[in-house]
Amino acid sequence: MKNKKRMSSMIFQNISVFLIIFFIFVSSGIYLFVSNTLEEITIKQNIETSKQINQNFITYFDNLINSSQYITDVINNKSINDNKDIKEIFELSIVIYDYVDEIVLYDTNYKLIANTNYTTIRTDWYDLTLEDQTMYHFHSEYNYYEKAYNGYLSRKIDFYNGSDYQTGIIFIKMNFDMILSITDNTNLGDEGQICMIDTSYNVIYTSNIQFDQINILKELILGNDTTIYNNTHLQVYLNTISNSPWRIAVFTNIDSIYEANNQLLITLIFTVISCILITMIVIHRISYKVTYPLGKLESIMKEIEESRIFLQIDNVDSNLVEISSLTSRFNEMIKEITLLIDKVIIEQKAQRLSELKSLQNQMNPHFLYNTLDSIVYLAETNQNDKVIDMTIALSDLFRVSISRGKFIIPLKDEIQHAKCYLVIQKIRYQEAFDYEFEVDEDVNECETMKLTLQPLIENAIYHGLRNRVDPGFIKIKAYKEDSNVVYEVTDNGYGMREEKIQELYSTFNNANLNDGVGMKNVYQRLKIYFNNKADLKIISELDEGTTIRITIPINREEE
Amino acid sequence: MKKILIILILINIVLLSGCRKDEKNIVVLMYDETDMFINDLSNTIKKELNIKYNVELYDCKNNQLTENEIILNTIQDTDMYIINLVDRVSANSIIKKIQSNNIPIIFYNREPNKSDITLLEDSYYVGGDSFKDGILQADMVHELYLQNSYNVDKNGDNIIDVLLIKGEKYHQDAEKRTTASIDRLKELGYEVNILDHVYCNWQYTLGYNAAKKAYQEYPNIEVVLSNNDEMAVGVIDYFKEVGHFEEEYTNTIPPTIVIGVDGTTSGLNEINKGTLYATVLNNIETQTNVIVELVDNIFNDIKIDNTFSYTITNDRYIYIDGKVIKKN
Repeated sequence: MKNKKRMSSMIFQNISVFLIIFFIFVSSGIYLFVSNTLEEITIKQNIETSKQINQNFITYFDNLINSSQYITDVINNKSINDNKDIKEIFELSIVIYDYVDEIVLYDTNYKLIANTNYTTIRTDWYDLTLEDQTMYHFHSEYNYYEKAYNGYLSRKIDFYNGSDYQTGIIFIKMNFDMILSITDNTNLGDEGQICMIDTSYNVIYTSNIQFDQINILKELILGNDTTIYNNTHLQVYLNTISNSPWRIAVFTNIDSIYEANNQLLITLIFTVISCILITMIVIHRISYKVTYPLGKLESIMKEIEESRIFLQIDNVDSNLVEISSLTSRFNEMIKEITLLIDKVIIEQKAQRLSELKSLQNQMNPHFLYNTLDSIVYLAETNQNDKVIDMTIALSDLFRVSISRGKFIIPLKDEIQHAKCYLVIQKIRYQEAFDYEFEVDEDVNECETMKLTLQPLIENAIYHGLRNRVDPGFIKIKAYKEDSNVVYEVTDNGYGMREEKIQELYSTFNNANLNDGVGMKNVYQRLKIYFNNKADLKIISELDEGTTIRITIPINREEE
Repeated sequence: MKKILIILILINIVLLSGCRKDEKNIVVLMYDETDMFINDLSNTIKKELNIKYNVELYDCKNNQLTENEIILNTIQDTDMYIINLVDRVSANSIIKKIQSNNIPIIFYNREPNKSDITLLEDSYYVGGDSFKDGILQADMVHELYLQNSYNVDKNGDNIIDVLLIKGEKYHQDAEKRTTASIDRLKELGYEVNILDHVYCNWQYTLGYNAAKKAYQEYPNIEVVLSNNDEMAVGVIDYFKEVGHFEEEYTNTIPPTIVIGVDGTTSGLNEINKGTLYATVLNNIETQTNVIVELVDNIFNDIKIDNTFSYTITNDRYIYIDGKVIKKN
């Protein structure tokens, strides 16, 4: 079987679990979306920046090639007189064009025509240039003095030597100062850098002298990637520089993405936790508000169940319509139940009275008949004194019996009644027994149920003293014990066995009201009238006698 | 229900993977769709290859960075690249990148360096034979001269005044065609006076502008040697506009001999009118056939050697001869 849970904990648990899942779901969604967008935007921006840097390089090479084209055009002109003119043009050109450091011109037989410096050109470059004469060739060479690479541009050209058109090869040494000024102004963050590599992955130019990331470039060849260098996240952009076979690599620091992501994560976690806490507190409050009155209802019901005292619920301070209406319904129900119970009690009481009446009425006819018979006998035998005594006793007996229809009479009246009865019976049984009254003074005014003693005395005469040879003796006692009045009717008959006593007791509780002897009648009346507060006990000893003991409360409750 | 779903998914996977196996993905890159000849050539290549393969054609908008980007974006699921380079010198990086993914490349129209193309085993170049184009251009001038020297040398000074309309700087075809034609004329014994040489990037408008500039300086241009038809038509249109040319020459020779290359629709139209004297057909059909055969052979692992239908120069280069087209 499933464990039953309290409603408040069920509400609290279910909503809490739902909320925690909801918050985690939403916040991880936000985190993923924002961090992805952030990364995407940053990388896109960095690519744009890198493209811009690349554009500067492209412009640089464009300018370089245009300048060399222009120089070529100038020397391919009939206004040239001799090689000296060409040298002069070259010298002028390196002053005009920032991109150009040196210019050298050879003819097709490796013969120097003109130069601005005394640099020797590698012959393999010469051959390469002649291999494809339709384009510019790019060369790079490490300079051990400058500890840097030099870049050269070469092309087969036509020139005028003062007398004839001639083919030759022009070499132009590049000046990277321009690029330097471009890259110096670009902020790429810590470890960020720009470098230019040739087709053999030689670093021709770098903005960072300690460059050792060539393997990343070798692997990437072209495109975008991210890498970690010196614990720094770097974005790498590697692309061709148009008009040249060389490539540009831009390393941009993207630690900011990860920092921002971490911050976002921390903020989100903090927000989510506080949200969860706040809502949990709110839910707890709400569930308490809903279930507290219910709990109170429940405990009151329990109390009612245990004590059978009908309480009203008040001070359930709930502003919830359902709860307050539930409470008022409950109160009404309790009221209703109380009314119903009262009604039942009144009805029971009425029924009891009618039962009592009928029980009391059961006793008279035989006795009256026998007594009157005795009086007639006495009168016939002229025992007039006894006739008088008996008649007076009978009249007294009936006066008390009737008592104007009351059930409760003063104890002294009950004693008087018993005495009258004994007077009558003693005359009837011709002094076959004797009797004694021992009534304490302080119980005389106590109230008692009428016709209590008489049946017990009757019982003692018929059952206790009958068939005796020696005279019997009956003792009637009345005294106060605690808050009770106690009657004792004792005879000196044969007594009863314990089994007989138990049998008698068992007949007391028999439902049939009409089959009993006098003692049962008394017992039942006592129970009807006093509930369990009154009692009847049989105490007997064989050959010694029997005592019937009745206990009646003095102050009986008003019912 | 679940079983049916799983079976359906499995069938799908099998079908899809099956499809992929059969359909090879080919990416064709053209440097600039506004270049009419390239546009025509590229679309023909696409059309022919599309019969057997899955072909995507991209325009690189005359920007090498765009071309690089397209390659980087497609490199994961491409089985073959057919590339018209924007910048010939960028071939080195591109080949290296594509080589790292073991994808064969066929270059067309723009020729990469020999040292670059040999980096990759399966890489070839298909293009027109620009030297021959130039020589044919010069031969046509020679032929006309032989008919009557005044057809060419209008002022009779025994010097041929030539205006050179060149395609694009560093384009092997532009440089080779021009050099070859001038060298050929000189070889044939003519004295050539180059009035001007102008780079017009293969474009009609720039050809028109170049003609305008040159005509204002030199009104008696005898020969215009253009690297392609588009620019030649631009020159002709300018000549017509200033009245140097008539609308049509049915039986006469125009005052300036204009010769182009390619054989585009507009070029052939002018040939019919007689305004464009001749053109050297850059054979789109044949070049496409070569490319299709190369693609088939590479995909079917057939060695490309002497058995190949076309002559292969230096193991990698296939040059297709041009063809002279004149009126009638």
